[in-house]
Amino acid sequence: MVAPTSLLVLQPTPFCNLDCTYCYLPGRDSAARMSDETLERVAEVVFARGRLAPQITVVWHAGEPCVLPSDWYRRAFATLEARRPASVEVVHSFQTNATLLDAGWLDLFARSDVRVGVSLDGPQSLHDLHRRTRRGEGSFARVMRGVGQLRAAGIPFHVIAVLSLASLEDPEGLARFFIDEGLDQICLNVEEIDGINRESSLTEGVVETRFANFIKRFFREIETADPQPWVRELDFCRQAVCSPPTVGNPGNHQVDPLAILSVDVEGRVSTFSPELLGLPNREFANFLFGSLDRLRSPKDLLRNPTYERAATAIEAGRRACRQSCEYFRFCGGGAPANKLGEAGRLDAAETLFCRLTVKTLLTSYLAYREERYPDVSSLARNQGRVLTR
Amino acid sequence: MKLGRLSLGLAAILALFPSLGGQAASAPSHDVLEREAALLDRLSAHRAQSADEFNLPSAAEKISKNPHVAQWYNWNNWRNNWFNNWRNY
Repeated sequence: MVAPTSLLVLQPTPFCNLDCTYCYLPGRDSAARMSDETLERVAEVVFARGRLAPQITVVWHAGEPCVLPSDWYRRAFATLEARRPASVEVVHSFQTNATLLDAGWLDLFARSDVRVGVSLDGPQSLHDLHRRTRRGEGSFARVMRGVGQLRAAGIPFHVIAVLSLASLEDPEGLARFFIDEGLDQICLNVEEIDGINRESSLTEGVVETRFANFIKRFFREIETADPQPWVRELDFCRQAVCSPPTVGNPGNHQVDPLAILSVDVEGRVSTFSPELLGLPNREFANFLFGSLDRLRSPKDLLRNPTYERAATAIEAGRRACRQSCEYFRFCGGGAPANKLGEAGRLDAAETLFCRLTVKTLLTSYLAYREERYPDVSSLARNQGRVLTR
Repeated sequence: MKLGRLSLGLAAILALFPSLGGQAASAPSHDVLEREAALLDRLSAHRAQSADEFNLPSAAEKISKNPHVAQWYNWNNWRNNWFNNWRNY
């Protein structure tokens, strides 16, 4: 199944001014910058000739996007806009460490209605454990200065916090930090074995038990707030209860060819998990399946034999998930980048990543609600068998 | 019939007729289907217990008073809000 492209990840530069301990990106020392010609080719190949979803999100990432001047993006936005089909809406999104913001950035974000995500792991004691400058200093103060700038300019933003083992120790403290700081859109990532990051503190001990405990206590604290922040993980759980997916393949853009396109700074193109872009890998040629200077349309990627091998393995991984996992309909086949990072192969099924972010997350939420609302336990026992198994 | 039981039966039927949408080659084992059905039944129990909390579409407004967030809720399209979400990257 070839899906219309709905997510376009562009790497304006691989460079990052920080040096976080768990970063998955290769090439963060390179100061290369995407050329005007490459941007023109993105517009030509993807926008003019690609099969696009009604709304496509352009994520400027795979490096710290704000190390380039904001004026560079004004030109880039105009280049893409010039080739945008009238029927397609384009939304620009930045995932940034927020340490380099200035008036030019705030103006760009506001004028272009950019979706902004800030990488912030929590209070200083947690954040500075991993998110450090190239001199090894914590970046918390500079990130919070950026948060203050966004807030003062009235620009909405979400926060992505990476959970490491230390984060699990004080769920209430972490939740209270976000609540007290008025951060109202929170996303919890986990420290992943992904890309060039080969270790995670979450592989130590009985992490699922600790993660489950964290989720229950974190959600409880969040639900005491008024108004409640939006938490991506809580939202997932509520929607799983409210509107569980029906029969069939639920779809997963990390597994569906061309649903996500990723373009590196040199104009080389990948698909599937964005973290695969340029990942050193001999078997799959660093997951670079084509170059914009030779592609006529994204569909040309599908004829690349290396792509075909990767796609076959990824599809086998999706089937393995379907065959073996009762949570399949909630994720649609997992994340190829995590399968490769953890198991060393794309056709694997379960990963630590999915055990934590899908399975433990959802069961912890249900357990939390069963503790909070005793009625639901008896109802569940009457309706099903799972609570007595 | 509960959703979990219904889907268990339907999946078993579709597995026999791949042309109708089943995937016999990758069909989950009966044990996996049983666990899936149990999970769906457990979710169903939660939904039934707290109809107010999950009453649509007012739940979005109730859960968050932040209009920027509430506007973003799309309960019928939740998978796009998860694995396919730009907030993941």
